[in-house]
Amino acid sequence: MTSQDSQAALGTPPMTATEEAIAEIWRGLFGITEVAVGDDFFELGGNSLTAIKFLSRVEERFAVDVLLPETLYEDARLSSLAKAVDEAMA
Amino acid sequence: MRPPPRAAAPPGTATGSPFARFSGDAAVTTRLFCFPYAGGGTQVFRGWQERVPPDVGVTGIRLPGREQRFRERPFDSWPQALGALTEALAPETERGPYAFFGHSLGARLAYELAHRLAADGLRPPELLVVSACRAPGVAPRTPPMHTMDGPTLHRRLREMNGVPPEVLASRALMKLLEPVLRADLRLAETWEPSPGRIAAPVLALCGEGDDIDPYEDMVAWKHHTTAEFAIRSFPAGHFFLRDEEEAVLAAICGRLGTGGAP
Repeated sequence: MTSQDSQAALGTPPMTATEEAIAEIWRGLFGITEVAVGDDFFELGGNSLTAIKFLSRVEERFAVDVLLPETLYEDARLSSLAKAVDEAMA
Repeated sequence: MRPPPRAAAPPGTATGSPFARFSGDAAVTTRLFCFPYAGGGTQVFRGWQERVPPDVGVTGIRLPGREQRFRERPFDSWPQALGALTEALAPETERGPYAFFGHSLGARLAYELAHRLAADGLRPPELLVVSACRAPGVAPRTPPMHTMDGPTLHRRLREMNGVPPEVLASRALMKLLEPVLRADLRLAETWEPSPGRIAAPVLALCGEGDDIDPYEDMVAWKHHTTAEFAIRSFPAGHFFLRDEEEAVLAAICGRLGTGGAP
């Protein structure tokens, strides 16, 4: 299936600045072009090593500890992660 | 690539499936269920789909405690593990021919499930691939890891090259992953193998540099099938499935007997 299909299935592309920033990190990490807010880090191919890279890029882009490993592992959907970052930054 | 929608997913959650399906359904005639090593997820099998013939569908078995099942407690006993996995796999056995691949802990799960499914009168696998796992009845060469203290366990994991150094160096991530890894190691290290033979042919795969499950501890798998047995080794250590992915898949596909097999 193409990423278009996944977007058709899950709908909404990234809307907020935080969602777009996370989507951009995922495009780089996973080598994909389309990311939807319902996409899940682990379903896209994330593992413990990509988790480290992802968390360190979030830290560079936002701030230290805006996204904790446990938050990522608890619910790895893009929309949930963006919400967690926004709440930590607020 | 995304797995097809799951009919049985509870409403409102995209999590919890024991299967990571890496193929579409259209061309698939044989499903290859892949059981991970201790602490492992399904993503190590993601890249396999493009290296197998189109009639083989690669499905990773997602154990509780990782990926989308992170919130679930890992298996803490063999009866629990086999009960849950049998329940998940029983309907899958009705969908057509399938094979099992398991690495280390995964090989033990796959072997026990082959016995269990047969006892339940379900369709047996076409092939059981046991990878990096000593044969039933062979004593372990290395001390158990699930009871090691933190620093000893970390040192051993580093030697085995089982966990990436970046992950081992992350205190926050290891705090999350270590309990799951220990639970899995405990399961692997408390394995009491079912006696007897299974009906499926067995292909044993081993690493030439594996000091945990070396070749000589794996040849005795030949006593556990009533069908053909073959053994192959690869120039790498315990985690040869990552270093020798292409050769490993060629060995598996060569035995699967699917239309497009090399």
